Amino acid sequence: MLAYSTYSEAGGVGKTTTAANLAVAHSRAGLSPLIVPLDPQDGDLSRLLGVDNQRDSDEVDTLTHHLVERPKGPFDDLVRTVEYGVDIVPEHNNLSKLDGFLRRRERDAEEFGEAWNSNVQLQRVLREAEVPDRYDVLICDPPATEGPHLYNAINATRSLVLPVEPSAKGAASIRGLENLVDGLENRLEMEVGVLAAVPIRYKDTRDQREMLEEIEYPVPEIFGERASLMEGCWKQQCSAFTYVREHRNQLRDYEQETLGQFDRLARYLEAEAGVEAPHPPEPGSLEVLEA
Amino acid sequence: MKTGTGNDPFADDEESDGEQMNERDRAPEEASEEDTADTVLSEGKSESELSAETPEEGVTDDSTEKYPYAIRRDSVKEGRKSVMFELRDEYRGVDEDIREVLAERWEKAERDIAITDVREAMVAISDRHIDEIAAVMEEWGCDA
Repeated sequence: MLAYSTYSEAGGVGKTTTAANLAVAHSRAGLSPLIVPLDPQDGDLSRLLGVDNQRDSDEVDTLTHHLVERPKGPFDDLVRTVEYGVDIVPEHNNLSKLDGFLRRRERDAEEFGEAWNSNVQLQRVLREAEVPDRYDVLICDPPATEGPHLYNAINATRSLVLPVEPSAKGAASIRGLENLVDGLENRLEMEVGVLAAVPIRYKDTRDQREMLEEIEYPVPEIFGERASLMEGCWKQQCSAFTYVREHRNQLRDYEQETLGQFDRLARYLEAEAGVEAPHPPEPGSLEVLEA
Repeated sequence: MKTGTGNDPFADDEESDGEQMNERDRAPEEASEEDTADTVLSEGKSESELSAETPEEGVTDDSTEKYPYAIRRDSVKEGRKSVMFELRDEYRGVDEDIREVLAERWEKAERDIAITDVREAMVAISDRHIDEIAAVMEEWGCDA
């Protein structure tokens, strides 16, 4: 299985749209992806893919319940299937209280003399649900804030994709991440790898070119500014693939090129993990999509 | 961090995860007593004051300045960085209560008002309410 978390320190970089578009790119090549977004705030991946309608319901079973070993039902009932057959575990508002829930659970365990580690619970839940056997790709989309959401995501995936703003700030955020990951690797006895850094909104200025040179990780694709396309995705609550196919009345070459970039990036990530897509489309092509 | 994939999170050796540690891997937890997020709304400043206050931050490009922040941004997190607040239970949900009131006032659906905006507005007005903040903190004994 290919498993990765998308991470970017700054907001508004395009982390969430990148995760969604990569999921679709994996899926339309014949792989079966599961997205697990973990952002407690609105304006998140569940919103983008139109499955945030139960995020404040007290009735429903949620990932948070499963993380603290208080599930109200089977894991599969948490999963919703969206466009292109992408599966997602929608975010729920109670993710904002995850830290407290986990701590309480950990304290309970301590009282009984058990060891219970808050930061490995997502991995446990996914393993118990046999996600590694049933899916080809796992994408976690955690918030950048240090805390259990981020730690659980990194621990459950061990590999990272870094959407990055091509600026000094972006370079600094990669360095910040390195410190954080070093600490985590020791504490959780794991090894974390960076599959790719993905510059987004690249305008090819001198500063930006210099920043690219500073990145020590593979940069398989560089995305230009696609504000109108990305705004459209948020407005219509869909991926860029669906947006271009269904909400643009004429194809724009540069937008199709962007779709092709997501396809190629998906192939790159798959190859890194030794996963082969059964029927990869021509990058950016839309004809295979007529369903 | 290395380049490429990390080690396999779902490799068979079960004992390598979940058992071995007691460390606390968490964000700062010292702050639990001195939170202020509940106090800032006490004078019920109008929404026009809020929106007049928020747009300044981080704006350098004057071509965009004529649009307020919430209109010109690409996403609700643009230009924002996450910070973690430690709140006691009684102050959790204050932001959501405020959003509910705003939704009624503006005749909008609650889901169309970003909780992130509500929270930043709460912080944005707070430096005009130092006295009230001091009063609350004194109640909590923070001045002792």
